[in-house]
Amino acid sequence: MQLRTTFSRAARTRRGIAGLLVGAAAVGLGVYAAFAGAPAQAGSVPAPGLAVSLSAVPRLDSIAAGFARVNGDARPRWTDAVVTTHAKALDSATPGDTERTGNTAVVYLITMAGHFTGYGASVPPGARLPTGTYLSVVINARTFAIMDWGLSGSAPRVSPASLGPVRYLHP
Amino acid sequence: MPAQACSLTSHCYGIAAWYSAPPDNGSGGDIYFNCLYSGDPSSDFTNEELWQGTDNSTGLDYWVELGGSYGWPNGATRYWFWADNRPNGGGYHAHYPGGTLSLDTSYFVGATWAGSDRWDVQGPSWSAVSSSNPYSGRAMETGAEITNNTAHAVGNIQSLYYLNTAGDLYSGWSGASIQSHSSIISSLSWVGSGNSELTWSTGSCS
Repeated sequence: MQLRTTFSRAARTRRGIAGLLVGAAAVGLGVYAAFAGAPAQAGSVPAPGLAVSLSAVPRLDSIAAGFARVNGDARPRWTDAVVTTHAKALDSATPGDTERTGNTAVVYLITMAGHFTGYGASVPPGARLPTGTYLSVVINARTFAIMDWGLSGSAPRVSPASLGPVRYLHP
Repeated sequence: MPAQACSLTSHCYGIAAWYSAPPDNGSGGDIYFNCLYSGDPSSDFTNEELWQGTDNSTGLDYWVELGGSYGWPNGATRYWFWADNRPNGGGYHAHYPGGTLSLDTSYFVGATWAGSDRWDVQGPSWSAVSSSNPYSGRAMETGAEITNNTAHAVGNIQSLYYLNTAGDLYSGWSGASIQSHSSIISSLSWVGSGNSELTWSTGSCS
């Protein structure tokens, strides 16, 4: 009641209105400071050309570790990640395969070097499991859903470093 | 007889296959999932799917495939996938194109030769292209693939067809036969005549 009276009285004068605006701005800044925390850093919202943000690293580490373990080399020689578009990630991870939708989606592309056997691959009965020294994984940057993965015996023709700043992972 | 252990290193199957088929331009059918489940979806998967051979491979050394999956790598959810394994160092690639996959619903799946070393992969609400994957089909296969004995895979594929090299559609996989299956598969059989409908089951869905 007292608060409403004070606001009503202030609203009746010019000085009071100015005071209300300053007060509201101060309250707004206070609320921002309380909930927003540190200012946004470059790369905190994933976008092609920006580095993978530190906040994404634990989930990418976990995904990379899972792929490495399932596919027979739990300790790959190195693992890196970049932010790019789905279409460009496919050029690197699964060259020759294209999809008709979703090409502009922002993704993380993880690339690992090691000695992999595709135990996670779906293969016909009796077929040899695919093997490779490079394993690439494409991850939706918004949902962290796995979109694509590929195994290759040679380094990606489109290198991850050509797509953006590379961050090394430690799965 | 002890049940065969299904694992990532030893996949289990219940399939019908047509090896050394006449050269073809693709195959497909309407797939239906009664259930699709794995008890350890973070590490194992259950697939119900169709494989189309490529590169004149009579024994499915190279292929495109598509179907429904549950489990690794996308966890406790049902989702569509397609994949290819290409010759000439092309490697193995898997894709998860999105779209709804509901139980008790019939969905078209197919793979069709598109010329210039390309195969169109056609899901119910998505399509994709496998390239650097030569002509022609000489083998096809369909059924369930399982990597964990907790799997539930019950389903069927109807209206199986293949395309000859002139593009004419033939109903039924006349030369296909049911293959010896893993013990987790409790039933696997053709329905009716003409090898146009295959049904598979690991038993109950619960």
